[in-house]
Amino acid sequence: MIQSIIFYIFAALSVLLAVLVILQKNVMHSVLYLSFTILAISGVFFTLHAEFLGAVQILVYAGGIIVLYLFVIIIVNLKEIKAEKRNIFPKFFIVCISVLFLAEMIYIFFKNRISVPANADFPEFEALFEMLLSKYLIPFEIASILLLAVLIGSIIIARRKLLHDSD
Amino acid sequence: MDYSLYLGQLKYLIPEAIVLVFALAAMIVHLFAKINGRRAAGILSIIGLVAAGISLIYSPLAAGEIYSETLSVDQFALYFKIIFLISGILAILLSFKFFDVEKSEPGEAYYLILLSIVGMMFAVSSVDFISFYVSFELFAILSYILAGIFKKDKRSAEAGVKYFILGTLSSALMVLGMAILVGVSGSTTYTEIAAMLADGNSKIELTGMLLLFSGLFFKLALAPFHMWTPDVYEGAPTPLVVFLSTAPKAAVFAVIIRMIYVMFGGFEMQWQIIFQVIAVITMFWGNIAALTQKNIKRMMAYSSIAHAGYIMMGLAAFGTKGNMAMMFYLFVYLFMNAAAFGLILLVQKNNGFGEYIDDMRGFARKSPLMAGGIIVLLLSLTGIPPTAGFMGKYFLFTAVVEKGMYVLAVIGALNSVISLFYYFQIGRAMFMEEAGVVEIIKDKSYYARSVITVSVIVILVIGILPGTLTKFASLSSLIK
Repeated sequence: MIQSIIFYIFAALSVLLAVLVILQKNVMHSVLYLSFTILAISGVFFTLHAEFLGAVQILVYAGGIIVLYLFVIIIVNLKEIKAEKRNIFPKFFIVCISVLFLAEMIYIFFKNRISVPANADFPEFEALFEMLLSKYLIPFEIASILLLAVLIGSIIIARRKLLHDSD
Repeated sequence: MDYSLYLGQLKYLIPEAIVLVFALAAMIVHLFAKINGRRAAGILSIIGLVAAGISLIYSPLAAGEIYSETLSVDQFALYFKIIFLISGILAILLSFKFFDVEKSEPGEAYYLILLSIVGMMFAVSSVDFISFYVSFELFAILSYILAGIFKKDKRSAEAGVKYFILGTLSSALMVLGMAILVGVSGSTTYTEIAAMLADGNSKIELTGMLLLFSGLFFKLALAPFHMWTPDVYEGAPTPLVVFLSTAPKAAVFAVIIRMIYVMFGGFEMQWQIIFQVIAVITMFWGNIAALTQKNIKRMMAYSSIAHAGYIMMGLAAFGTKGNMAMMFYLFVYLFMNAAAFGLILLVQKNNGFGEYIDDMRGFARKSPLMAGGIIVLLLSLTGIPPTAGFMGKYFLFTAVVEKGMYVLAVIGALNSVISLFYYFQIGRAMFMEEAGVVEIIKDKSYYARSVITVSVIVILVIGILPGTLTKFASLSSLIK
């Protein structure tokens, strides 16, 4: 009982904070709210007994990605996002599509409750790591190629001087 | 599960390993090469692709699913791997010419192409959501980088950013869809999901499939998800557009065919009508928008949208016949696209390339043989015999007609007629108008010429003697 109350508090908090992220004019505030959102989501994971995911959420997202965002904001020197001027029709269209999608998801998830299959228990730490290096060995290796590719790509995109120019 | 088999199963992954090793070797060569010696990385990459092609012929096919049911190295995957390798070779050859003329050589493109081919090779043999998604992201992210790699041109940077932002959004939708499917079934393996889908509540699964297909259709530039295509194809460096418009599309079509065959075979009723509608909208949108284009790259972008629509008809046909037609068409389309974009690399204008139809004026006077080849290419793109494009469309239309979708076949034929108008604007500019305007790039390299020549010969040979490819494609289209 207490557990589900905590779960709903965290869930509501994460939605609320996520909405606040996109409503901010100041980018720094946005990032701050984003880090709170991530902490709230990790709270959701903890109440669901997915301790590993919760810890990863804090370590990787709050610890790594948010810091990265802050660096980008400092480097690019973004201060304030100016609202893009759109006509009323595209605005209306975008809002309609989003609301429709939300309504559809809510309807579907409440109409057919997902019954989690019995064998889908969240694995223990050890089992998880064992799976990563046994069943999912190939994806694990491909992920390392992916990281290499992304590393090269970000260097290409970010560097100022064109190294390949002859002049 | 017996993990001791893993080492022995490595023998099925030799082609992938060869491409990867050559990519890393090219990376190191590129790192240490002098400014003018970067070409070595490209040559090494081509050698790697050829070696992988040879090893594909000799490497064994796995009878079942390997690596704990995450990969399936079958004939179906083999067919697409050949397409990726050829696409990579043609794109690198055209890049040599492009970088020579632009006098700027981002040599990273060579090994990034190889790495993205590794991703595609794994994606087409994946039978598990996790291995599929990781390899999908590998080639997806690399295609954003490849589109924006030519930083000398501002349009290329714009193309890269646009492609990246829209592409990640579509990937996010796709992951949400996969998460729903995995949540419902409790497994990531295609076969186990298929078993759970057979007796579930269907609405939530349809939502998951819808999101999954949306993400995949974005990569294919099908009609409601095609907005990025003209800008990206116009901005990205021409030889890399050859790669981006053929190999990732073939990979995604392969993934969809496998998913439908293994997982969603029972949902024919729900999806057939949607696939038909998408095919019709895509064909009309692509062909009609191409009519007004003056820039050949932009026109070919819309034309590639239209061609994705034709190939989509094969998907709507739901079956081995349709799959075979799609695979045949994807193979042929590879050569058609390479030759069409190669044409742009032949014509000079203000120290750059002539990208507009008007720049082609008098081409036939200057280079009659090439012009003749281009006419064959245009016939093939339109779908007129005796070219491979005709055979491809013939198989697609018969697959559709056999399923009783006569209207779709008629619309497809009608669209071929529409496409005749804009393809032959190029032909008219080359033959009819006065000579002296066009300036054909004169240099010692024959990269673009040889790519066009080989492509045109392949188009003609497949058009006249389609037997071998037909047999190979229909053999490969039987998954297991």
